[in-house]
Amino acid sequence: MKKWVVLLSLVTMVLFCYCNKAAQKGTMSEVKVMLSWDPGPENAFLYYGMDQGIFKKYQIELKVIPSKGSSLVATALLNRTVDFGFLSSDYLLTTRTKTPSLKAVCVLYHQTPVTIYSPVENNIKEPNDLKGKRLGVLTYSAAYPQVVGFLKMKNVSGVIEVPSRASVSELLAGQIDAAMDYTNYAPVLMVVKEKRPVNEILLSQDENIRLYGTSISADESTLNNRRELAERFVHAVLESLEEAKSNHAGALAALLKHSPELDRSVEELALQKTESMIYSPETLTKGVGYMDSDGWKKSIDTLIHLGALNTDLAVTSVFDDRFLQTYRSELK
Amino acid sequence: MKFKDFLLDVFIISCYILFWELMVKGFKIPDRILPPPTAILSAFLSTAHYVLVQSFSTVIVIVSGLVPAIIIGIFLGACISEWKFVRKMLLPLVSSSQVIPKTAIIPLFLAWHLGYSTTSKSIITFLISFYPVLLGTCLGFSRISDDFIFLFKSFGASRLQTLFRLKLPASVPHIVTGIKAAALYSVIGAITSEIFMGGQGIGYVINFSSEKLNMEMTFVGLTIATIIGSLFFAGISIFESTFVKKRWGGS
Repeated sequence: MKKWVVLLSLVTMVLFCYCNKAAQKGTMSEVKVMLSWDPGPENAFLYYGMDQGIFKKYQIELKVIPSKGSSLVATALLNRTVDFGFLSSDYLLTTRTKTPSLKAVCVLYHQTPVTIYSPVENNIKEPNDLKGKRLGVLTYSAAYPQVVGFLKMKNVSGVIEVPSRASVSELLAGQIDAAMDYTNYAPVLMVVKEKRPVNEILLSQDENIRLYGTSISADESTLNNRRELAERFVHAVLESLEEAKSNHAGALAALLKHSPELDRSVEELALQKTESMIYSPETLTKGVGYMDSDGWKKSIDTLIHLGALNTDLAVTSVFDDRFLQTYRSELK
Repeated sequence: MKFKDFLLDVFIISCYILFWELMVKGFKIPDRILPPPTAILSAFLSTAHYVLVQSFSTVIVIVSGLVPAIIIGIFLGACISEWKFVRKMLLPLVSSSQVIPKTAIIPLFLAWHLGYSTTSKSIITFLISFYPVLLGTCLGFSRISDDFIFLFKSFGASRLQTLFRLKLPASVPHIVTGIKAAALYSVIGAITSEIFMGGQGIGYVINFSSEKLNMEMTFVGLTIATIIGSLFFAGISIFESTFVKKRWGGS
């Protein structure tokens, strides 16, 4: 009889613990967020926020899903297989002409991070130096139309476009002379890992190119039908961004913990470069992740100027800053 | 395998690894091209927990693709062999499904609301690995002597009785051979789908780390993939030698 009592008590305890845990979990909402690529420095704040319990504080169980470019993120957002996604702003704008339901909720880079990089010995310092050179291009990347438009704008002809992965390996193997990428990715890898100094032609250095870079976006139905969840998510993102700003080492450690494939020394510099873009001087007054009509209007105009966008878009239709505003007002 | 043979295998593999280490060090081959085994081991040790989690994810994809592949492969193989109507209806579909490159349908998963999930990866694994099982089953059925079938008929056995008491048991050695091939294909399917879809798994580790020029981790991934594949193959071979060969005497 005693044995049965002990056994029954044990089973009850186990059941109680399980139910308690399930009840705790039940109050959390799962949010799926898709990265624009594999994890990298621009996602460090997200991992930092997860590790510091910021998302938990907002009762969000975050599931981070890597992807292979903005086109996949946009499809996943439209299908609602994910709730939020890191999306290149130019892709968001060009997609809106076909599927007008994606909206940015905050912007990470307030300038385009797209660059054309090459080893210094190739002597490509300005757009005209690309004449007759092989430029590795990732044709399905959101950055590709920017690069094509930029070269057209600069009247650079005779560039040999080589459809490729536009990777460091191809540059090192001499298959291409220059490649396109984000300034905080491949060029850093080349400098730190391969100890090869690079020349960069940053698109944002051209005064005619005023284009938002990566944004966090969602489908309109998610923002309207799950408004409360969207608000919690955006607030958690912004808080993570703020917290990660003052703790570079912590953000780096969080990124490396979640992606041990990454090299510490490479990511150290990559994160520094990323931080200089995410926490640009304007964010001191406007706050991290800010976006406004003026910025989006300039982005649309730039894309039209580059030939990447055919029609003008209503500025107010491309972004939703409700949650940014509520976060700012709560801070005040 | 005798213990002595096992030791010999270990010795030969150790010689290869030693040769690899000496060659890389001797010719000063950059890590970016071929890292030495010691660097690969060190990379594995420093990320052991992460690699094991990713391996577990790959194993889940393999199992969730392979098990339905075995069940559906045997079922379809039996149906195709038994009923002419089913053969006419299904064979073109099955054959054409094998001609389509599996990676080409990956973008469709997003459009079909499946996302780049474990389910999508399992479907790729299933599509790659069910065909050998189906072929093995069909081959097994075709090899049954007409005398046995006639004998069953003469005893008044029904079609289903003949199927379950004669045809399926007699086909087991061929089916197991198909399953062995499917086990290897399933590893390829899982790793390939992870390379293309990313997210998690050993395929993801291989792809991501090679993009980041972290060749040590790429080789860790390749080694783990080899081990997983070998373990699956060995498991089914042990099953074959323990149960199948004893009873049926192999294929």
